[in-house]
Amino acid sequence: MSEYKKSMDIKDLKILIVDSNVFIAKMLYSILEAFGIRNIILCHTLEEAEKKYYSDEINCVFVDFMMQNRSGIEFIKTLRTKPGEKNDQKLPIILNTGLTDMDTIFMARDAGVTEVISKPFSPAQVLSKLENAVNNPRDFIEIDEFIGPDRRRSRLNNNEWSGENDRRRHNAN
Amino acid sequence: MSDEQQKIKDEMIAKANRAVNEVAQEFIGGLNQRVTDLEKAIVANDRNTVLELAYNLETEAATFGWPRVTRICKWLRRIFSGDFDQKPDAEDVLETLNGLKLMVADTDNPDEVRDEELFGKLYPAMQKAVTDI
Repeated sequence: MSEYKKSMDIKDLKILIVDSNVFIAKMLYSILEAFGIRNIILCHTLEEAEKKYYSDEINCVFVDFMMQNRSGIEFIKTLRTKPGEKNDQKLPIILNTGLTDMDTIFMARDAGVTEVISKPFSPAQVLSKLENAVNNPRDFIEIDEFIGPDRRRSRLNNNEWSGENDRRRHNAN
Repeated sequence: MSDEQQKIKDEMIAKANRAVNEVAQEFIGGLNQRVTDLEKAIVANDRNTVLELAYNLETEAATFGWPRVTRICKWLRRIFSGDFDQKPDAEDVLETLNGLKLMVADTDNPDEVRDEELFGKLYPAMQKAVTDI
């Protein structure tokens, strides 16, 4: 089983990209390749991705929210509830989406996503989200109604969500 | 993070930005055809295909520097998914689509001034249908 290791060098990751959007998938592939990541699997359908996921050891998944005939959210739930023999249930999963409304974000969070990256994204954002997902894991929760990283980020002393970036400080007005 | 680590990170990002630019050129080369495909799906009232094509163009165009294409495609996606405030007239949909076609007609020589003016003309009808577009 491929176990999630803290402080893994991102160049050693085996990454699965699941995106029906050809150009976004290609762009993400090119970005990860430019970061020095050599093992990248690209799938344009969830069916293809499921086959790859259950037959290969994977260290991180990028999945698009809106796939052709099924939701990326359902795919994430499947990975969390049925991790299979090859992969770890705690696998970092990054959702890339053009939909950034609160409903979508809550859906993603409740499905057990590790990070959400909104389109359009830049290489710097991809690197930041990837490093955070891989090297700064939150506690993993496994209860009847939820399987995934702790949804309460406020417990973390994480620069990305503190200080000027703490939205709760700016929502008061 | 040390200066050396920061330098390595900056180099990785610079290399990735160059890779993104190459993909962007490929995207621009096929943009006109993609809008033609979207138009065909709209004319055929093929809702699922419209939603897929509009969503893909919306996110890609934003990524590769075509913000007005993104907003029009987002508008079309919202209209065809039923997520609108007021149902638009068919004429408004066609006029918006024609505007989109003009914006991508010559992607090697985009006319920013013309496109901005055109978008300004289309915007009131778009906003009437989807207020937060």
